Amino acid sequence: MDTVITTEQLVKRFGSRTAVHGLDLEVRRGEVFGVIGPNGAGKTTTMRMLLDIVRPTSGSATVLGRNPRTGGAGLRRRIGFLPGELLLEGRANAGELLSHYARISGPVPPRRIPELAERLGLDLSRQIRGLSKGNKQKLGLIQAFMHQPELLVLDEPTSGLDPLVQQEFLAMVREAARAGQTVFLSSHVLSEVEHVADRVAILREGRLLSVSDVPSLRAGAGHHVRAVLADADVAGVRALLEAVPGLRDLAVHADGGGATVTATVDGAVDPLVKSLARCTVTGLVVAEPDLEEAVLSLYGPSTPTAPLPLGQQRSAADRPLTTTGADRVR
Amino acid sequence: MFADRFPLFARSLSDSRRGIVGWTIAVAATSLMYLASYQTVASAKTSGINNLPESVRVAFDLQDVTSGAGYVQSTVLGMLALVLITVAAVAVGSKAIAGDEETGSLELTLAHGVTRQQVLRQRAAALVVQVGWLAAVVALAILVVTVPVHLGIDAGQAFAGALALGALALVNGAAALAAGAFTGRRVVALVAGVAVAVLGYLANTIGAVVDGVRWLQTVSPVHWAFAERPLTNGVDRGGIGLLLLVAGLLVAVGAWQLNRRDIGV
Repeated sequence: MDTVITTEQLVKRFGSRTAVHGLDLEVRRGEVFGVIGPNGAGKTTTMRMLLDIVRPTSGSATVLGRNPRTGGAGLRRRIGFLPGELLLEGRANAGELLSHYARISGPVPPRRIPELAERLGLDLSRQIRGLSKGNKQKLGLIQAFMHQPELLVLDEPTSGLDPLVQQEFLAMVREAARAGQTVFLSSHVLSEVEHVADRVAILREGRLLSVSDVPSLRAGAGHHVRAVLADADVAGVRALLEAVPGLRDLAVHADGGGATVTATVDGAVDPLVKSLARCTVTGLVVAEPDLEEAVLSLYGPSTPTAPLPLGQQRSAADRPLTTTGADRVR
Repeated sequence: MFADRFPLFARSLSDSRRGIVGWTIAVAATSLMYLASYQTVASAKTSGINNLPESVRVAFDLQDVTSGAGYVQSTVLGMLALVLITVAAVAVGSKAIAGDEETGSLELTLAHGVTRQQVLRQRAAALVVQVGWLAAVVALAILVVTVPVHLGIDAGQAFAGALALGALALVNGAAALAAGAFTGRRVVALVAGVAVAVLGYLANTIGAVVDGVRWLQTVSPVHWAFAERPLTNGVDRGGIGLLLLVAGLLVAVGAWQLNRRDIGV
């Protein structure tokens, strides 16, 4: 497999604080790889290590076949980077600043900057210091995309963008992937990356909780089920359903002559439907899994006091993704 | 095109063009004002200055205030223009790396196809150009008024004086730039630049007045710049060489640490 980013046991400490805690990641050529996690999960620090802005305390990173530390300017020309905090200032106008960045990055095709600016709706004649956060973000996106780099590293790319521009950005990401570019992007919410990412890594406190594709994540997220059964007794229904694999939060209430069942199903809903079919079903609702909720439960209420090895930590998580075909990287 | 070959240098100058216009006006106006009043001051104050104690005259470099060169040295080169250009140099030097790093711009620049050393070198070059320009403004101001007000300073002497002034201010600016490159903190950079300037000035003055600590002058950049009276005697190669060497060493130390450390943390 052709990998574009590989990290092995990557660790970064700032004084006594450990920002990244032995991270093993693999990003394949041409994929859109999302990293999500709450603030302080180590997303930004990881990205900065890939660009040689900060240096690893231990472990190694390989980007486009090179070590960021020795790859130098030549390596960075092949990468487009959007930093998480973009506090641009100055009296230069947006077009001047972009021309400057074009001079110090890979070759930018003529007309590319105005095209991207028009696409995202950025007025290139505006002064940088007068730009809103959203407009600065657009400028940051343009400088990352303009030289059509092999690898895009985008830290919270949609922050500050209005929904229409977010859609345009997602289209740009899809186009980049179609053109064979690899996209490594982060967000603190899943909904921003789920429609575009091939795979999603979930990070918390500098550790990798899981890596999976969105369908597996969705499968693991659990369907909410509500069924109304006629002519059923509560105890019988409960006995019947408790045998169903992957069922949790089961509640059965008497309802007239029948029963109302609510539950959450991890994985396939088929076994539950087959079991319910033995009763007379007068109502059935299977709700789309709530991905955000699933991810939030992975973030967890708080960390265990003693750091657990990856496997144990997963089983300690509320809804372990390993049981749902999540593809554990390394 | 020039901006294509040295993009960071061109960007630095472009970013500070407004500041440079402002400093140019300030330096030119102040210098011209003091230079133009040479005759009035020289005739009116000579008696007053001669009544001052010897130590005060030495401390404020007023022994020779009646000659054109002495007057220009003590009011402009060693005082007002020095303060203005030093403040400009320290501001530019502290912004070059540390200021840029604190706003997050440096991170974005370094994510492109440039090395940290290129960034530092081209911004240091921009500092040299800006300080050099302001020093040249002082030389020009001297040349404009030297004949009308009988300063008796020729072009070579004016150049020598401005060169010494520029090299001295450059040491202060380089200290700020180096401290900023070393720490990434703008406040540290500012304090370092101001400290080098003030301590250098004090060392020169105290060394001149207090007999027991005359050696203090030998470690003062102010002394290196002006001890040989460039406005009278022309370029002092030794002094200028020492100032440029120290400025270069400061930048080299900053560059060494900039290459090793994390950016923007």
